[in-house]
Amino acid sequence: MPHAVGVSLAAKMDKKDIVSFVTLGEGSSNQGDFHEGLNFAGVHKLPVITMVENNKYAISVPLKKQLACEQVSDRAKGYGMPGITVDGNDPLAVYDVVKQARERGISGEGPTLIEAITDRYTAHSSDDDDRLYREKGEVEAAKKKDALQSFAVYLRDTGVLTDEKEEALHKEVEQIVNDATDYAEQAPYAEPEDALKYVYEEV
Amino acid sequence: MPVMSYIQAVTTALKEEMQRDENVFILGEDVGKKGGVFRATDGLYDEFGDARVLDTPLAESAIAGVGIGAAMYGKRPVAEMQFADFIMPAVNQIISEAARIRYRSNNDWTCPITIRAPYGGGVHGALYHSQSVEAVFANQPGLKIVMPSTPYDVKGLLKAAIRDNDPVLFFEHKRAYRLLKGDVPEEDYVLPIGKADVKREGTDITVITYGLCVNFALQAAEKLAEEGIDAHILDLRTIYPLDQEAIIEAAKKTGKVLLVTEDNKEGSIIGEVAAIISEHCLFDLDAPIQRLAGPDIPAMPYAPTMEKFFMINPDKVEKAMRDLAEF
Repeated sequence: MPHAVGVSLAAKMDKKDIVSFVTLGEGSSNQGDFHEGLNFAGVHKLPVITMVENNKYAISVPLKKQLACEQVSDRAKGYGMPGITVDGNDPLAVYDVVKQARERGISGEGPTLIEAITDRYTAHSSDDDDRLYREKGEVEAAKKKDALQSFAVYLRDTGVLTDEKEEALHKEVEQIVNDATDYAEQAPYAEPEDALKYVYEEV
Repeated sequence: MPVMSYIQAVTTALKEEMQRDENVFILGEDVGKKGGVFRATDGLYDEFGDARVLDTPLAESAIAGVGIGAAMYGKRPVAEMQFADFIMPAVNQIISEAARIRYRSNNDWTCPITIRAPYGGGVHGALYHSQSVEAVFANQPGLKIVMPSTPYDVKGLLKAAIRDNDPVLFFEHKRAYRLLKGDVPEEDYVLPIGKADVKREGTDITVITYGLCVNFALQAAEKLAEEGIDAHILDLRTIYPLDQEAIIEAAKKTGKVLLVTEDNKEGSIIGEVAAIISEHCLFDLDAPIQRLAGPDIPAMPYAPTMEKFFMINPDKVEKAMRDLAEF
C-alpha cells in the first residue's frame, strides 16, 4: 500500500499523468500500513486509487470481527478522500467508479478509496475447510450473483454475447491457460546455485 | 580544506547530491522548515522546496514504504528516521520489502533508497533516544549498513549510499554530530561501501570497531603510544555485509584483537567479526579475541551514573587495549 503511494508521489514530482492503483482485501485494511499509506496520500493529495475487495472474510474471520465501523469505505473520511462502496459483482458499476477516481487523480484532486463488495466462492485455500465457519447455503446464494454468470446474462440480453462468441471465448481462454501450463511444466528447474544471484546489484 | 562537524558533513552530502541529481529527495519528520530535530537538513527546504524536502506524517512505516515505492519507480529517496529507535515500526518495510525487492523480482526491480537514522547514547536521551539498532538489520541479505566514524567518511559514504542501487541504512552517531570535527574536501568524492578502513597503523594490538567508538580507540591509542604500545585500528565503516578480507588482514597483523561496540554485547556485530577471525586466523592469534561492548540490558538508562556505566569511553577502551597488550 505505501509503495503505491510512493509511486504516485514520484510520478507527481515528474508531473506525469500517472495514477497508481492498488488492491487489497478487507482483511489487510486493518494493517497499519493501509492507514499510514492512505493518510500520506490524503495529506499530499496524491493520485492513488485504493480498491479494497471486500469478500467479507479474512480466511475465517467475518467482517463484524474485523471492522469497528460499518464498511471499509467509512475509513476514507479520516484520510480526507472520498470513500465509495460499489457492487463488486457489477463490472459496469466498478468501471464507472474507477474511471471517476482516475479523473480525480489526474486532475489533482487526490486519492480515492473504493470498496468493492464481493464474495468468495471457494475455501480460502486447499487447506481451508470453510464449512467450519460459513453457513450452509451462504456460498450457493453468493454464486448466483457471480459476475461471470450475471454479466453474461446482461451481455446476452443486450445482444453483445452469442453462443458462438461465448464458445470461442471459452476456447481461447482454455488454450491460453493450457499453453501457459505446458510452458511452465516443461521449463527446467533453476540451477541450485542460482539461489545466490541478485542479492545485490551485479556488475 | 574546510573543517566540518560530523553533522555538517551530512548536510553537505545531502545538498550536493540533491544539486547533482534531481531524482534525489528527502522525506521524514520535521525535515522541512525546521531542518530536522538535529538540523541535518538545515537549509535544504529553502534551497529545494517542499516537493523535494517532504515533511511527512509521524508514521515511520509510511516514510520507509512510500520511499520504497518512489525508489522502485526510479527516484533516489533519502528517508530520515528521526531517531534510530523509531525505525522499529518500519522494520517490516525495510526487511521484508526493501531488502528483498531485487531478489524476489529476479533482478527486474531495484530499490535504491537510503534510510538515515541517528543512533547511540551519551546524550541523556534514555530509552527511546539512545539505542543502537544495527544488529536488528545485520543478518538481512539485500541490505547494506553503513556507520561512519568521521566527517570525511560521512560525506564520502553518504554520497555513495545515495548513488548505490541497493537499499542502504546509514546510521549516524548522534553524539558525534557536534563532538567530531575534521577536514572535509570541498570536491565531490565517494568512498566505497563494503570496505573497511585502517584508521591507524600499528604492530602490537588490533582494535576493530565502527562509529563513534573509532574516535575513542584513536584517543586511547595515542595515550598508549606513550607507553610504547602501538595499536592498529580498523574502522569497519560498513557493518553489513562485512569486509572479511580487511578483518582477517587486521587480525593477522598483530595476533591480538579487541573488538569494540556500543551495542549490547550478546548478538552484536562484533560477535560476527569474532567468528570470522576464529574461522580464518586461529594459528595467527596470540591471545583470545576480546570484546568490549555495552551491557546486556534492555535500555540506555537516564541517570547520568548509569548512562556513563553503559557507554563506551576512551578510558574503557584504553584499559581493554592495555590488558590485551599485556596478555
